[in-house]
Amino acid sequence: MPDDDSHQKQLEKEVWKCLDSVHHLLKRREILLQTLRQGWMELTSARYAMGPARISSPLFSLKPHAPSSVVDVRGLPSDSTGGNSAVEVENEPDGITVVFDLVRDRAENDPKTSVTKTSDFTGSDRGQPPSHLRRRVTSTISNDDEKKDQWEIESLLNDCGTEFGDESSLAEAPKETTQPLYWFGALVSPHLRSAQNSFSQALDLIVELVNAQNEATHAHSNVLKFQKATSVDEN
Amino acid sequence: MAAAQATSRSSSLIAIIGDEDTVTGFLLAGVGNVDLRRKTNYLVVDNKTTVKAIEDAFKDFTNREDVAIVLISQYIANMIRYQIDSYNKPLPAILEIPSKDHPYDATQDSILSRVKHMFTAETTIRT
Repeated sequence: MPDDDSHQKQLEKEVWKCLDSVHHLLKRREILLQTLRQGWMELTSARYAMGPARISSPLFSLKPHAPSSVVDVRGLPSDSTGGNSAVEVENEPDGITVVFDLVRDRAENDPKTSVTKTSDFTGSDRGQPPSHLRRRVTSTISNDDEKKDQWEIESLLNDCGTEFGDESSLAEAPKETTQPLYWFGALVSPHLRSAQNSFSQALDLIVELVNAQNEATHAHSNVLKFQKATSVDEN
Repeated sequence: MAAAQATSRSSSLIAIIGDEDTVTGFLLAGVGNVDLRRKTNYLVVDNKTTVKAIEDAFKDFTNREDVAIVLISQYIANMIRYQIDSYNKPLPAILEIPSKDHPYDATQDSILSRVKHMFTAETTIRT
């Protein structure tokens, strides 16, 4: 039966694809583990050199800032396996494969970049200034500084529209990126810089790993699809 | 084509749920984001962090439209395993990573266990 043979061949092809993608996934995981271990080791060395209190979570900056490493997501049509088009891909009814790309330093190049959603400003915040402006108004500083603050508040209000109802323009205000190394002091241990490099490499591997994971899932679902088609043919 | 465009996003965040060292490392790599409400895209888990806090953070990150990938240490994922196993959306993608004090256990990886099960079942049927 030609259909049985073609399904069987497709099944074998998909099984090999699945095994290759799982092998690729396992290799990436192993490299990620080694890179993370290197990063942890460097971080521990930096903590030993600088003191435990100088590298800890309370030092993380909570000033609004944008990330320097972001991810672009692309939805690609799933590649045609050349098999029976009537058989739908399991778990991907739209036939879309999601691919992730790591982008670095986009916020520095694009002044309009912002990841703040307009929904961050709820209805209860309408008509009230955001918290950072509120702090400026109530701070106890000299007259000149007060006048400067007032001017800045007024110019922001003018830029933002009448009330704070123009939330989209507030949300699109460019946020600065920050150099995380500076959170831990002006002079940091070289081990901390090495840790930063290691974790940057780990970030690249993580994006590759996510893509490999999606590929393996897709290959696995294709194998199940053709297994089902083959068992139906045998019956 | 419309569906492919619908899944396209740019400048999406990577959220992290991990121990202090893991989160510190990835923040050094530049994935940290803090918005005007001081809402962050990371959660540092220590021995005082409750399971409910982890569940809430996971739910929050997976419901945010600006998050593309959620990294979670495997030992923390084990605390909310039922929640992770029941998660089936393509975005954001969930990736379990090893942690400093807990080596990665491949038997708990969802993809590997499914593939292993598939080949075990197939071998049994053929014999």
